[in-house]
Amino acid sequence: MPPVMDSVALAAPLVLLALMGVVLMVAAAVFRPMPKGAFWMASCATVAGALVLVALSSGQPANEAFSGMLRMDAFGNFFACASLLGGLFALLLTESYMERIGVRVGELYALMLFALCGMLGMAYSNDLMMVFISLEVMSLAIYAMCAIKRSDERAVESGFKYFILGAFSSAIMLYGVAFVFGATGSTSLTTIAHSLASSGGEAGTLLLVGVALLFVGFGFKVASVPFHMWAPDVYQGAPTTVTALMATGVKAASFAAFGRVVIGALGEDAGHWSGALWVMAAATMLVGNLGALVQNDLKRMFAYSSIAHAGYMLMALSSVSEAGAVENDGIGSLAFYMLAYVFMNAGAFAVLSLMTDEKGDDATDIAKLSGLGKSHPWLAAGLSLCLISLAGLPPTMGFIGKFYLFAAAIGAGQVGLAMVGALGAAAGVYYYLRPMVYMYMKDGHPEIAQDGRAKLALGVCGALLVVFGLMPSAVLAWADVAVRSVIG
Amino acid sequence: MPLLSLVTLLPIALGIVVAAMPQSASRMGALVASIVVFVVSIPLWTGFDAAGAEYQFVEDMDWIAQWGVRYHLGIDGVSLCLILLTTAMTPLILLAGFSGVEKNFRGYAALMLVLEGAMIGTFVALDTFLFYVFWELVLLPMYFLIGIWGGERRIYAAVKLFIYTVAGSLFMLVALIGLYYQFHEATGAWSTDLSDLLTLSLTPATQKWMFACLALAFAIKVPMFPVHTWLPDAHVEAPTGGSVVLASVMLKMGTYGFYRFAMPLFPDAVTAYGPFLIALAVIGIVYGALVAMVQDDVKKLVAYSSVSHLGYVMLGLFALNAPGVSGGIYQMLNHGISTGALFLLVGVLYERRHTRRIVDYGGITKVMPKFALIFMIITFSSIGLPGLNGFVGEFMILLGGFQFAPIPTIIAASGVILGATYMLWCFQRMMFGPLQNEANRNLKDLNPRELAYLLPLVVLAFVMGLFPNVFLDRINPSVERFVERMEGHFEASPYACGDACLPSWLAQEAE
Repeated sequence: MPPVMDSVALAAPLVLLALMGVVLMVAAAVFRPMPKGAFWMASCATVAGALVLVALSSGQPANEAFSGMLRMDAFGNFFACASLLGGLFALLLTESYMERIGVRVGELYALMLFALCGMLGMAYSNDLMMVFISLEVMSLAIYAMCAIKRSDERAVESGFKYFILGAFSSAIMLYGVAFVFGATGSTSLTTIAHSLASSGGEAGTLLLVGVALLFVGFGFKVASVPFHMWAPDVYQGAPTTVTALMATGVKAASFAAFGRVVIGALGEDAGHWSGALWVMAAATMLVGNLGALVQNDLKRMFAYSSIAHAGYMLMALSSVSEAGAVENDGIGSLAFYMLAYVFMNAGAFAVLSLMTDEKGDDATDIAKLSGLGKSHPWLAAGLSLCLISLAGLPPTMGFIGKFYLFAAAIGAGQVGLAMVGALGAAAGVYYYLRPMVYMYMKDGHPEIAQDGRAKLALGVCGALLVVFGLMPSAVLAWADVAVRSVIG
Repeated sequence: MPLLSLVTLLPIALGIVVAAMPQSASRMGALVASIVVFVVSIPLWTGFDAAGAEYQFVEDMDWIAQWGVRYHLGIDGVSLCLILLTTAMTPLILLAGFSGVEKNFRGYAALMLVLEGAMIGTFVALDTFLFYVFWELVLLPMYFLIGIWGGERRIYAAVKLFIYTVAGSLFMLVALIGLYYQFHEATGAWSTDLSDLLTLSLTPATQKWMFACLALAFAIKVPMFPVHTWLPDAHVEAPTGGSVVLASVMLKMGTYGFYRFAMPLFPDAVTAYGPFLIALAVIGIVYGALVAMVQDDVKKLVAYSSVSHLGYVMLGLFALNAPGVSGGIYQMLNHGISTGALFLLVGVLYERRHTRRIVDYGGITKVMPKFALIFMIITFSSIGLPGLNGFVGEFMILLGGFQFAPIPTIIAASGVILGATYMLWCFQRMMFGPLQNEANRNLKDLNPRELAYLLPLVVLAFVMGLFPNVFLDRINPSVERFVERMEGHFEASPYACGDACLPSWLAQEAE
């Protein structure tokens, strides 16, 4: 077998997603109007298939594919699973939601598969060029999906805004890649790490400039302060199910690539930039949590919440690097939290998508939840569970995750950062309680769409949050394997 | 048979069952469920060996093996009494809720049962992580109980309760994580188990910041002056059952936290911060009593009386000697009985008249003689009349406190007089005098259901007042171990600084 076929076999999940994306794109042009159900079924099956392929490859030793562009290891598998689960949950909500807001285009599903393919690329990439290409594959698809409802001004604004700012940040990132290449002579993460190790962690200004620019690029993608400005508008304007994908899959993939670059390539140089991560993490936790306090639109609130959570996860990256050496717990807590974050956001967005009823009014004002506890007790209970988990309270996965994050930070000697995080989390409790106040303590007649698939997504997420909240050992062990595959 | 797991998890499971019942069956269902839990908890009492090992009914297994987190349960005499208080109060609360809860009794009862299980969990957990999980879990049902079934300003009160407690809890979490790493540094192993953590010898500086974090979390729950401000709001807005469970059991989680975790883990910090906490306790006693005196809302009056009574408990615990600590523990139970009963009584009146203002009543004795009799007994119990439960606890606390810190205790003793003043004055204004308000003329006296949930408490008040040894025999061995640990540690501690750096009043007593 020629070596390229080996690579294709190794990267089977990516190949599957890309191929099916192309097939659906062509099919969308041929079958007009879009046949009901077929595209949705096909894309669900594809994502599920990709999940199975990732699962099958787990347990195998780390392998490089496409001349070291991709590194198929447990770390990548973990984040690929997180992204694919996010994608699968978003898909479950998509069809009937899009029907309700009057969008019937098959291309949406093709774009979704491309985006997921890009996310997997980011999770597995072992080369800055690959990171960039995957990021673009993912982002371009998401930009288009944001504006998929062309008659909706806010959606178009959201897509446009995201595109302009995203293109800008991508350019900055690419510039950073160029600097890093100039400083180390390579774009391969492995080679960069070797070159830094041989120079004893002493890196020149060139590298530092490159790292700073890379941080800007990643900071934009994970929505960290001060590169978060786009998030509230884009989250609010985009169709809810696209927002769900942004809040879950995109975040997981971006953090996977960020983590790989930080620990895989630049770990040796941590002393020079860990301070920057510290500041970014602290500012992101504070701005996200404080910003969310005053939001009355749920999607906007979740945008700020996602900023805050990016801050928590940056705290993990910061504790990875604090000691100048790579710490297991920091990256392990990031991985664990990421998975929890996917479940709790996917569950919450399932309810948000149902707030768009048959009339297609896709406003997500918090007052629309009034009385939900009485009219839809199960939906309200599910959303409450997700909110409790987001707030980091037991008995949910969010609590275990937050404990792990804070423990890792304190273990790395970052008590100050952990205190900032604790203050932010305390403020966070307030805004996560607010939807519950409306659901249970105010009267109203919420207009909620009927959609079994969204309820299924909510049910699965809620159940997993509790199960892994009470018995986290298995996921912790898995996260640990993932970490060891990159740290060794 | 893992009895402790059963007593802890059964209420939660039954709560879920009740949530799935039809609304019409939920009353009987919930009542039966809570009685079943009570019956299941009785073997704890009968099977408890008063002179036995430190912790009994121990269950210990791995929970999160990677982190050394254990599912470790066990009880001593103190937790035993608090568990039985919890399981005994819950049926009474649910019975009282039959008339007081106007909407969705099913949800109310389900939350109440989950709350019961979570509270028991905090009393049986011997692993700090497990304790924290139960501690936080308690908050959620309470939040909904106040927020959904509460009065006018219920949302404000519920959110305030939540934010206060969570803010404290996060500090506790940071300290517990710090302790976790201290243990790892000292031994190389990971553990959150209390018995492991107790073997650590920490520097006074470390002890101080960790104790401060834990003390803040527990002080908010107790509540101690000046972080008590959530309590009057929560009590006034909560439905009757919520107030009862809050006063009877939930506040005890704070004092229990001091007794089980904060004090034994950080004895040096207790020496350092003890005078400060005693001062706050004494301020709470006097301040709570004075504020209670000027309330025109009877529920608020009882709420502030809780601040005062819990001040006694804290004074007793920080006296660090057997009578003081035993008295403090006993007072926790007494307060659970008498204040719980007071809230139930206020609830009875409120259901009839829909007002809690003292001036709207007066001369009630004439129309509700049975009610007046029970109210009188409970009032006496609350102010510590000999023969009733309150007296035993207060007496022991003052006895122990005086040995340890005479001047603060003398000031605290004035709270007994103030307590008698506000309770008796309130009783007089509501119960005696002419029946002036026309609306009160046709009030019905207690019905059998109301008697059924009030009489057990009256009986308990007498039993605990006349036969305190039944309880103290079980409490004392645990307390002795506690006192020994506090004392033993001072002698053994390389950081003990002798009389020179102790406050003079403490130095005198140490001699």
